[in-house]
Amino acid sequence: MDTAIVLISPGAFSTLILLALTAATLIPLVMLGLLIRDKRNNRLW
Amino acid sequence: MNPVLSPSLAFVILIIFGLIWVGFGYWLGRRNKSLSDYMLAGRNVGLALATATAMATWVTSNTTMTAPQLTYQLGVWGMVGYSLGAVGLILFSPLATRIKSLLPQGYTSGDFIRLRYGKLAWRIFLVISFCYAFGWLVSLGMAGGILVNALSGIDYRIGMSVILIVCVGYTLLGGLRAVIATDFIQTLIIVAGVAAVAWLVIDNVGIESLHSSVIERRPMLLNLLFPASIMFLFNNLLFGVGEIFHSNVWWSRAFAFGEGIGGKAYLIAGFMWLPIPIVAGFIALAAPALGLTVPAADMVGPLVAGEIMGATGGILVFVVIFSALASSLDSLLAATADLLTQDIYRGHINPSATDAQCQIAGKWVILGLGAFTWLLCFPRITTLASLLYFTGAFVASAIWPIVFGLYFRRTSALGASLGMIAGSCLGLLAYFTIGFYVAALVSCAVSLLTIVTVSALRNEDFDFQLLENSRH
Amino acid sequence: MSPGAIPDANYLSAIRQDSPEDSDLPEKCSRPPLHLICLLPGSPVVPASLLTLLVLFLALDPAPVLAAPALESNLSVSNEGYFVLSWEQPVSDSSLRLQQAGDPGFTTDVEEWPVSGASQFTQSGLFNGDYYFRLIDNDGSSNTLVIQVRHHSLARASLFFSLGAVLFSILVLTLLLGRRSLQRGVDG
Repeated sequence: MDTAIVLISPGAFSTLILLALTAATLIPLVMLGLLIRDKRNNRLW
Repeated sequence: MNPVLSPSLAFVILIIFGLIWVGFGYWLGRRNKSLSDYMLAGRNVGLALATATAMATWVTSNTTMTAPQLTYQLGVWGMVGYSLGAVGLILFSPLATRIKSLLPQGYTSGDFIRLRYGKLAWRIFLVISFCYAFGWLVSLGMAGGILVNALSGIDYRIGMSVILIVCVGYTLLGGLRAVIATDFIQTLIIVAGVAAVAWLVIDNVGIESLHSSVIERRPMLLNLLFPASIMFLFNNLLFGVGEIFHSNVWWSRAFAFGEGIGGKAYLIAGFMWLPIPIVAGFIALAAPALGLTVPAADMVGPLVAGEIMGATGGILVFVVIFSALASSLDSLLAATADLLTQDIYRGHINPSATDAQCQIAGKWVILGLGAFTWLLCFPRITTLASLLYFTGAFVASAIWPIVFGLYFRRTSALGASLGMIAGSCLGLLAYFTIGFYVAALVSCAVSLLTIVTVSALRNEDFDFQLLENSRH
Repeated sequence: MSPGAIPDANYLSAIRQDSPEDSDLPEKCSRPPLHLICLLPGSPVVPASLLTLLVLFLALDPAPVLAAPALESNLSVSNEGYFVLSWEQPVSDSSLRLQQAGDPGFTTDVEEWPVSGASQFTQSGLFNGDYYFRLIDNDGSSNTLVIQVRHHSLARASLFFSLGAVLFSILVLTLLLGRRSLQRGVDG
């Protein structure tokens, strides 16, 4: 039996990658934001 | 393969980071007064640190190495499938809330199983937990030595020993507080490092040309109907769910997080973890475009980083992998030591032990566990590390006993025990007769059927008040 | 996540690359394919001491001299389109290349990679078909190795996919039901 082939299109591929990469780039900022908020409210531990 | 880093530079990095972690652990440990402080960081961890520690622990050396490897082997679905590991974190979110409210004074996952199902199920559960924990510990220790060796040429035994000593050191000095605080910094390093390499890949190669050179040379990787990777999707998801639901690594965090924090922290951590394997996996797809020859699939990430960034890339990869290793190794050491202290020492050896005695025992257990792991890792017997792969069958069998046990009073204790045994056995059988990619699936299905059937037949009734009122 | 979900030859390959057994050998001797480490998941690894003995035994065995080192693979039929090719590392032969082709005569779909200094190569992402491989250097070429790529059928793949989807749905439903019954204060 031959393999069925549905290749992911360049557009869908770049969307997936760019979305993930943008999210990953923002994560450290979100985390630092959360940390500062907890620190200010004195709720770190 | 030529090391991307000189041994002396790598050694300097190891020592500097090691000293920082251990010093930090000592500094944090000064605040620990009680057993709850030491084992559970005072039971009041805030959202930022809670989220970071859940994420960092779930990002292991395997995420930074295996996500590229799976992408290289199974393509787009391998990458997306690996990122579905996040589902385990997300689904644990309601459980974490429930656990904290059911057992406000609990210490380990073993506590719950013992109180909910009695001694038989507890002992079966402990066997499953320790198989998994030791498999993971040894594979992390060995991965540390092997990766340090591959990246820098430093001797396997030296690299492995340094990483273990550093992790045991700060876990011992600072308890769970040190584990959680270092996890926060390690998460920042891992995520920023992986994202930086990926941006440079885009800058150097471009997504379009990367896509077209993969189509040309390894077309199956971009095929959405790639059979092996379709089979892999849910098996991987259930494996991850099984790991998180049963393991004390995640339960001890549920106990440690402050009131109302656990649910939110696991949910946010899950969503923030989701993109990381995709980004790390994407890096692997640059290999064909860069014309790299890849000797072993798990080295594809470091190879691409080294090719694009040269020595800087080498340093970055080294630091990221060291952080990823440490962030999981420390959590696993702490959580396994808790399980040994609470469920073996207090549960089986010295039931009348006081909290103070447990705290002292806990420190010896961490030290002993570190030494034991070191001994197992030292001869570099690779079959030990591959043991971790069968544990898919074990951990997936514990999913239903945990979920049903937390929510439904009619869940039978006998059903839970039989479910774990039958699931593990048939899962293992499937592993050897059909293939690794169905072990967790089969185990999960068998355990579900067993527990539901036995519970329906036995009509047991459990009073959840017993859990809330119990002393641990 | 903790375990790499796919058991792979990685730990083993890392060992092979710098194991002392290899360096004990007379460097230029050619010998029959030596591939004692089984790469299947869960299979036992031959202990190092036994390996050394076998290596020494095989090294004494006179074998036909090949120009390029002998090429081997961890499997001859791949259901996933990936596999590892390996060979004994030659003494710094900068002309060493690995060739892949769609026919034994190496005329169609030829691809080539420089592999000097390496001792293995991981190929992946191939469609169904027969793929021919050989090592080639200025003095000639090695044995030709054929790897058959036969992906699982989509029917089989969908079966496991569906089983997984059903289990996952039951899990999510259970969690939702559990939560709802708690909110109603019924406790199941």
